[in-house]
Amino acid sequence: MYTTRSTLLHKLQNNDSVGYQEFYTVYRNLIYSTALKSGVPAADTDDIIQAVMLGIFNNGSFLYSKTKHGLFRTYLGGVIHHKICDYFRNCPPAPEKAAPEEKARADFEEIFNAEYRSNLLELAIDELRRKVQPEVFETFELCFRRNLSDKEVAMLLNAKPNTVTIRKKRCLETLRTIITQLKTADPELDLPIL
Amino acid sequence: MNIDHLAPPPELPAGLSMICRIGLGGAGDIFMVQDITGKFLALKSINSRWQQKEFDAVSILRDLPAHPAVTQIYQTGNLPDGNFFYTMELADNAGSENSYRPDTLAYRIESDRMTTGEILSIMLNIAYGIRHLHDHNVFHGDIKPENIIFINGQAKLSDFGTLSADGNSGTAGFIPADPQSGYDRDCYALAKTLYCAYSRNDAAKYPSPPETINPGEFKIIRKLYITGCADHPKKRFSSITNLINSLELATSRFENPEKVPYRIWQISIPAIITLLIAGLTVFFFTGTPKKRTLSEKSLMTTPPDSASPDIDQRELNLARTLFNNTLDYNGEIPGLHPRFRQIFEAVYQTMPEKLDNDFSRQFRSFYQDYECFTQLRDRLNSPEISDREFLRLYNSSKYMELYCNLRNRSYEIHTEQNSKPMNQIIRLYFANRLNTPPQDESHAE
Repeated sequence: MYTTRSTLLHKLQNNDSVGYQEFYTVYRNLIYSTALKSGVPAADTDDIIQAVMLGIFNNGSFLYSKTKHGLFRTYLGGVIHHKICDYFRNCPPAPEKAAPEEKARADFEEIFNAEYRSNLLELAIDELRRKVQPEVFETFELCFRRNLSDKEVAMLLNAKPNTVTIRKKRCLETLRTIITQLKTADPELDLPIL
Repeated sequence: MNIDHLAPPPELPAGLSMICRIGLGGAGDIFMVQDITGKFLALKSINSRWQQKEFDAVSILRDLPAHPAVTQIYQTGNLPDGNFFYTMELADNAGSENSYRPDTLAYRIESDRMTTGEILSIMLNIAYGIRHLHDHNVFHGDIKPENIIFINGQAKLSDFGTLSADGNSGTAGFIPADPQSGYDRDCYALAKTLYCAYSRNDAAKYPSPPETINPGEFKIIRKLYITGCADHPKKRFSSITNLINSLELATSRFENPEKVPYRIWQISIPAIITLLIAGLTVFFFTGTPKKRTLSEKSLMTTPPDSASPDIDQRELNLARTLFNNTLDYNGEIPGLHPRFRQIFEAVYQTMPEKLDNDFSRQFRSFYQDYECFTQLRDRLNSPEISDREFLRLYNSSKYMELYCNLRNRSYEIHTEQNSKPMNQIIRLYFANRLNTPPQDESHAE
């Protein structure tokens, strides 16, 4: 689900309604956070999300095509940018806040790429969650995201410290594999090396 | 654009007055109505597409006896527009005076209104409701925080559209990858609901721990949801009773966080040795042999503490509730024929050498411990016992530990591994034309 070249795009191109829901679930947060950081008020972000979804799915058909549009990230970024521009065209910001078009575009790309990267890493962690046992994922969460020591994690999970070490290694290896696949799919994205 | 939700409220049958729309369900809309006595109810109007399914579900539910953890259905019928409807208990209002919002577990999770103790209590109540359904060969099919409502503060199961439905009912995140049955799905879903309530995460974020971790509480609760949501069906709770036992044990541990031993003999043997040593010490030092009797056979009682503080009423109520739920327990071994125990005793008395030692030990030990347990239970259930003495004895004997231990052990007896020695016992019994011992109270079922 984390890679736009996988079955998700394939499902969408075959007009799979379940794929539509999955797409929404996967990319909603990305569209939301990009819009928010681009200056769209929180109350209006749902409108942007809806506009982007309608821009990508016209009458239920998925409009993206790799041969025509290139990388999905670039295509999606373009659609989001257009919808945000449309929004500001209808509700222009105060004159002192309006930036020159080129700078605005560059700022947007920086924001979007950062959000896309962050979203992709979250999806990679979700993929890790699916691939490893629950106890192993808990170890990952507690060690790397909560910064607890091996000893503290062992105590919490009623495991031996050696077990915690082994689980950590397993998670890092799996996550490395996932991120390597993402980098292969989109080398320009500059994902972190673990 | 779907404007069904903007459709005007339906016309109601005589005796009911419309108050407002309070929910939009997949199968139909839900309204707050008032009957002629002034009682506020929830009315669900079912779309034509779902009518048969909801009708079937409500029919099943109406045939079941009432239970405090299952939302009660009142009136059923057809609205003037032809839609099937039913009225039911209305959830408490979690909103303001001018704006109704149903008090659901989902809302309480979102608003962070629950302590861990309350979460356990809610889960236990819901588990009793689920057991009620399962005991009547019915399963809910869609347990999740949104489908647990509060009525007069009591947690109840609601939304029975998937009652005993086959196939793909349920909500993503609350369905195991490999469901064995509807009953298995309910147990899994409840464990996942517990996770969501405790961690305040969505089901999709399982098993990410909560933001703030209290180590003691985390260990107790985590054990429940990790077991309940295990990928492998055999590692999950095999039945709702099994889950209830674990919830009760967790509740007991939560209330009394000191570590407790596992088996009755681990309490009684060291206790007897300690008493013997104490008795011998007194004998040698006083020099006067005194006739001493042990008032209790085991360390299930400790000398009363005359300086004990006033009892905690909440603790007493919880203990009584948990205790009362154990009164029906008769030591039955799930799946085993009721006469098997008598057959075993007959064979054991006449030809013990022909029995499998391990199985015999396991079986006899279980019933010996069960008998000790029933003696303790009878003492606790005595009408003469005061609240103080009840609580003291309940806590000092680790009553719920003993109960849960017995329940768990009972599931370990009638297994595939023991089928060979059990069959051997039955063969020996009939081959030798043995008579079962006369029925007595200790063997009562």
